[in-house]
Amino acid sequence: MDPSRSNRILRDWSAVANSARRPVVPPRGVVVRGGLPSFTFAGMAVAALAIVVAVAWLGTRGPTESVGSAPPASAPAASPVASPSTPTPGPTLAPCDPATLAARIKQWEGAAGSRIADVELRNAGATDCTLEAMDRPQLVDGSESILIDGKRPTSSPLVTLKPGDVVSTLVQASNYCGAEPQPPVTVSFVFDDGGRVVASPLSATDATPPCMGSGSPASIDMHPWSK
Amino acid sequence: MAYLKSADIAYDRVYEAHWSDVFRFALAWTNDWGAAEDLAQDAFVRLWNTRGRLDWSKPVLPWLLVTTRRLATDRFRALKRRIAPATQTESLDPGSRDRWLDVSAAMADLSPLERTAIVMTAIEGASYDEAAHVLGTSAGALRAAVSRARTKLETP
Repeated sequence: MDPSRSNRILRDWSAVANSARRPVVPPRGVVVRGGLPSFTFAGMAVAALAIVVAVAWLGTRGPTESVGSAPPASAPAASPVASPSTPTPGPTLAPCDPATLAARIKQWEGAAGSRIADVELRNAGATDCTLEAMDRPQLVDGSESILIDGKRPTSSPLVTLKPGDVVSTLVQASNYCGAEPQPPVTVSFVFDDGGRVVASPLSATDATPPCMGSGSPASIDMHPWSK
Repeated sequence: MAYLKSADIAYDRVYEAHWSDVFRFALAWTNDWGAAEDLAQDAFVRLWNTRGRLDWSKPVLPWLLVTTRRLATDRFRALKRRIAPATQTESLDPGSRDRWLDVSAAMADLSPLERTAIVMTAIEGASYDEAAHVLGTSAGALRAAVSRARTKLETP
């Protein structure tokens, strides 16, 4: 390991980043591109497709029909005006801020060496937001030390939460053979961007699942959040 | 209307004062020059669109950085990890472009969280608590991310 290497990389990073030039004119309310940014080939492909479709659409109109304010076929691809056949997507909904989510354990159930937490989560914020239906579940103790760490999902659909919306899930934890945890035990959910929500425990005495043998690993899994 | 007028002025001042901060944050998160320019632009569009509802007496930079992170995360999801990302560096002069390609290659092994955590704390001078707030994680997790980043950067 070479400490000077990391310092050199960071110094170079800073020098190059500082050479960025701020656009002179501040942006003022241009159309938000809904998910496909202009810096991708996909974004350029969509723009090109929009032009082709717009040209085809104009071509189907009769010679006496007015095209109104539609742009000419040679209009630049970067025009913020959507073509007739490509409706402008709405602004991208932001992921839920963990600080505005309230989770709690409603019930613990026991099942053949496992404990299953019935958890509900509420959007306590004032705006709509999106939640990954599958997160990385964790069993944590009263000091938020991780007792069992779940797997990060490879992909997850998004659930839209309006203010006050409640979603529920079941989290099944099995075979905890570690040190005595600090009560109460509860579950937490780690989002793709590193954000985390810890559910309020059901009671001060909530416990871990029983140890079924230290030879096999502990596990924790969750069902998708659903309304 | 008078309030919006003063919000417009505040917006312009924030743009001049913080565009570079937002760009560097986006650059750390994405490790992609063109994407960072794009995200900075979009973050300021969001700021413009909400300027009438913001409390301009409070610092705006944390709001901008959290918004940038969310935009980046959302976009990253939508694109499902672009194959062979083609970074755009037209706005860089040739000398800086070569330097950037070297630096971005060295930073490529770090996750967005690790990269941004070490940039914010080691370069931008943010505290662990400040960086953790912006990155939506705990100070402990942020400290661990900085440690991992440092280890990766020190190992050729």
